[in-house]
Amino acid sequence: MDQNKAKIDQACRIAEEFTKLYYETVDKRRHLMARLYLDTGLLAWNGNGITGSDNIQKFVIELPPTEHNINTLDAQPILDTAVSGQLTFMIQTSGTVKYPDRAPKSFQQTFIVTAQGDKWKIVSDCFRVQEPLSK
Amino acid sequence: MQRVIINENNLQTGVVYKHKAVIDNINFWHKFVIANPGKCGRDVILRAILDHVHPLDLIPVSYDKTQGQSHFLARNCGSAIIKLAKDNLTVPNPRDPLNPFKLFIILKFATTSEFKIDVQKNIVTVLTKRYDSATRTLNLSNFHTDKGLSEFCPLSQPKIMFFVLHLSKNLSPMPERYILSSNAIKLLNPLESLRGIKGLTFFDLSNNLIESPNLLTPLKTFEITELALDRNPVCDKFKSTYEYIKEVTACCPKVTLLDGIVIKEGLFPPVRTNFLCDAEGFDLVNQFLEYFFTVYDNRNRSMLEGLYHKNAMFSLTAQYIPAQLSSSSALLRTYNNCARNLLKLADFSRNVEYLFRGSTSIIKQFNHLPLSEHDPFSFKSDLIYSTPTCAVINVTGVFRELPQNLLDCERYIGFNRSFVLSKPNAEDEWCIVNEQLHIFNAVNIQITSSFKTPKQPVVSTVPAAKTMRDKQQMADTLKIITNLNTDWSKKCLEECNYDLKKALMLFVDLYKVDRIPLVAFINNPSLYPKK
Repeated sequence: MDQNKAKIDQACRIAEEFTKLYYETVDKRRHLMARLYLDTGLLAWNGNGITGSDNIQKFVIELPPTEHNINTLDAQPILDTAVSGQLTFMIQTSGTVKYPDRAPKSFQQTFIVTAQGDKWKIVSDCFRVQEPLSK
Repeated sequence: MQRVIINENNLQTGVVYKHKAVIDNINFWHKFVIANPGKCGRDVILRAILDHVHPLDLIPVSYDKTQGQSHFLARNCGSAIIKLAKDNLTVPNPRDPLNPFKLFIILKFATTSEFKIDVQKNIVTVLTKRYDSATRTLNLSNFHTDKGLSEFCPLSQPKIMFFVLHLSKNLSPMPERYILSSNAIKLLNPLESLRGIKGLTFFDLSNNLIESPNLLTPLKTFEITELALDRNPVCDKFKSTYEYIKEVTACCPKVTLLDGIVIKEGLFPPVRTNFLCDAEGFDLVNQFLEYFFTVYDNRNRSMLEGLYHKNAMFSLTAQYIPAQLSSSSALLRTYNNCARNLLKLADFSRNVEYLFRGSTSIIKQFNHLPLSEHDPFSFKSDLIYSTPTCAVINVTGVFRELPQNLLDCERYIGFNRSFVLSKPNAEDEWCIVNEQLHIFNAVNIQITSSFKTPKQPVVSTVPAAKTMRDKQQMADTLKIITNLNTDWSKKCLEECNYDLKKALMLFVDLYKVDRIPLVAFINNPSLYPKK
């Protein structure tokens, strides 16, 4: 098996595990959010940028409760040339998110995750809801 | 009445303490004399002195300049006098740092019964002039520069600000919105003067000198919904907009509009169209997206090949969304045929089947996808990672598929596209190394709000004709467009200095009101305009 295929396999496996953990944490254990990000991690939530894992955790805790439902998942290893060989994946999800008293909304999310020791941490992620949140 | 002079000669003799009772007696006016004002005017001198004793109380009145010396009166300013005495009666001169202002003070210069001064009346007049009762807005911007003020009244002096705000409470109806911008304000404690007033909604404190977040505490006593703080040093103390908003809302939880921007819409932070993790990335994001989608919307997408790294990766996922205007006619088959949804992968080892690797293979796949027209006004873009060598851009929006035949309906497709760009060396061009695309039949809001802005037509301006030859050519053109004969075409153009656009507009105007005689068209009998 060529080295690239091994990396692709790993990206796919990590993507499944990591996103499962991520959405469980957002939906049920927001007080542990900070652990999923690098200390310097970034969340771009519908165009609002939040820097630092502690700030991200505080930000997410203040959002109304959520139930995420994931429909698609895709992952790629980022080419070495862009990340100087630091093992990094790009993961894209799509699905619906349900807030209290509102119809489910379509969303997409893109994560850049990197290996830190034996843990996978988010460098940056970008969350975009497609439908108005007011209804 | 025995006047006492404090000057640099008797300063060391304890004169200040000897006359402490006089200094603290609020019924005495003391005279402050600046021996060497030089060419400095009132505002420079008083500002320098007030800045020097800040935040101690000192309200100078009756400033004047006689025989080369500047002087003013003040009372109830014991702490300021002691501070000045401690500093040897010298105050830094901002215009001439080597020559500080030298002062002496005549204590007990007059009593308040001998010398009456009514600043209040003057300030109330100015406040009334600056008050818009219709919007209940009191505009105190750049207050001290108001020509109507008889005394120097900088709001940076806490006591003056307190006093002015106190007087503003007598305006009728009471102000709800205070504009306090551009006043060199450092402390907000004087806002206490307005404490307990119902209905205050807005403080504009922009362009002042508020240094640190803890100085915002006095705002806590108000229930304002709108606040402007931009252009204060404190704004640079936060690492991110998020922390800035956090700090402000901790003081003023009801603020929804900060620096003119909506910060809260009900339960959610408001959706923002664009985000840049690094402001420097603005040009890159703009140029990249414009270039990419312009080329991508071509019939032949092959021109994009140069933009991809030779080992680049591309994959897409597609999702049908029910209950949308687009749902019944949604046709995502072309996308589904090459979609790589890891959740639907029956055989894990086949995860590379729809991972397109290498620029050639990616472009080949692009050319299999339906032709598209993206609406750039629908784009929401995020730059979520940015270094000199690597950038991650996410963009979401709407495109429409170009109908394959006349019966085919127009399909609106939502997309979310993530690019990893790489630029290993400064001299290299940015290239795409990884890309993921998500496709879905557009949701209602996308359908109703996209493709509203017509594409800007290419504006081609015809320069005014200068030479005889150009003029003749232009007359021929106008003749063809309007059916006017040569003479009338020229007449029209002469009238408009040979500006073709103006001449055409003139023609249309005249034609509409029927001011062009039939003879003007007679050159061309067969092309008479139908009337």
